[in-house]
Amino acid sequence: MNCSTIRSLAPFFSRHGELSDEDRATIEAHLAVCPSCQGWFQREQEFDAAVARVIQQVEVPSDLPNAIWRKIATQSRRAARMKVLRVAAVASAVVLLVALGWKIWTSRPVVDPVQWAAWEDQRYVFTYNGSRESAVEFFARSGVKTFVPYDFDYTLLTRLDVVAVEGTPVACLVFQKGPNRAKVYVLPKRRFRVPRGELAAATGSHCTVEFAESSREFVLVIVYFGEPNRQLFMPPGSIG
Amino acid sequence: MGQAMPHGAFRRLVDEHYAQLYRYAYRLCGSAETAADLTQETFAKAHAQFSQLRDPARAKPWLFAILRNTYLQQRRQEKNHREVPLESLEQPAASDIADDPYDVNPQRLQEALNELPEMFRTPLILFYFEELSYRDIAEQMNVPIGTVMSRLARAKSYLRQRLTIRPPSDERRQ
Repeated sequence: MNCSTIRSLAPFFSRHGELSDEDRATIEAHLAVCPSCQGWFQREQEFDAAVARVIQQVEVPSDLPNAIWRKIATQSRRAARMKVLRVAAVASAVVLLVALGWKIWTSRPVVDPVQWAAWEDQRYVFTYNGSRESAVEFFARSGVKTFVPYDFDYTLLTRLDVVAVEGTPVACLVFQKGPNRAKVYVLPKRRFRVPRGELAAATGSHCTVEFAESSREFVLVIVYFGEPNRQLFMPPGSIG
Repeated sequence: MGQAMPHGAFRRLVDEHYAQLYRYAYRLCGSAETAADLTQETFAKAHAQFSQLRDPARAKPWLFAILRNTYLQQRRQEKNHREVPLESLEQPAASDIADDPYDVNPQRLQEALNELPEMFRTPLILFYFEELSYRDIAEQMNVPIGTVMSRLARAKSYLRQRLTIRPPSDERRQ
């Protein structure tokens, strides 16, 4: 090893365990024959010893251990509080979710067979005894505010129903004459926009749809299956 | 705290290392108050993470690393920390060399340490403390051992110049 390499190893040489016995022996052998490096090493060691002596002279506060334990105690309390808060937050969220799920689950409408039978009976009775009055009574009992049109032959009435159109309960009357059938929906104008002036009509592959003014507040949507002729469903002798 | 606290083991850890950690902190930051805060914060963090210490024999470098990281975190929040680049120091003239260059003035030593960038100050302090091996210092600073040695050599050179230049008060006396 040359002088430069030997000097670069000085920090390792000065500390026990940082250098192999072989390298240490090599440095010692070099120092024995190199007065320049010997002097350099001596100055380094003296300087290092002087700095080390001063750098380690730091007075440690006597109450530092107590301050450390106080800090740890404060932090532990804070960590415990945070843990409790976290658990409480998770528990609250779980309770809220369960309550919400339970509310949704239990708010489903109850299907009661007794009510269902009564409802079917009522509809059967009213349609069997077909008359405008029976239709008015049926929709009144069903809780639907509607208008029952006059100009239909109620002896042809085969079915009364309350159907949801875009979420709104709507009265529906079905008339049947031979192979021809007319489904009449009574839409409240305050809930549905209808074309002004001449009402629209459309023909599908199986039916024909026709809008008809019924009253100031309601409009009729008549769906014809078979012949799209309103006259067929009017009372005998009436003029369309 | 991931597991039940082995209270006795941690108490021993505090008793064995608090003094040297405080000295290290003091030399790092140059302030008794900040050094005490750093030491307390170090043990508070160590207490919270004690379950992560797998090998009790490595407790010392672990604690020194926590303290250094805590110091660096705090210093990042400070805007006005003054450090000088090592290149800025000129070689002292022969007449400026103190009569006894090895009579180290504690205040000037701390001033010189404060001026050093942390990447040079840490290996220097740890070298003189003889608390950690070079391998531990390198691991703590996340650099190769060769980098630690070159930084140490440059830091010592800077320190030698700062400590051996005659202070202005000496010049006035003569």
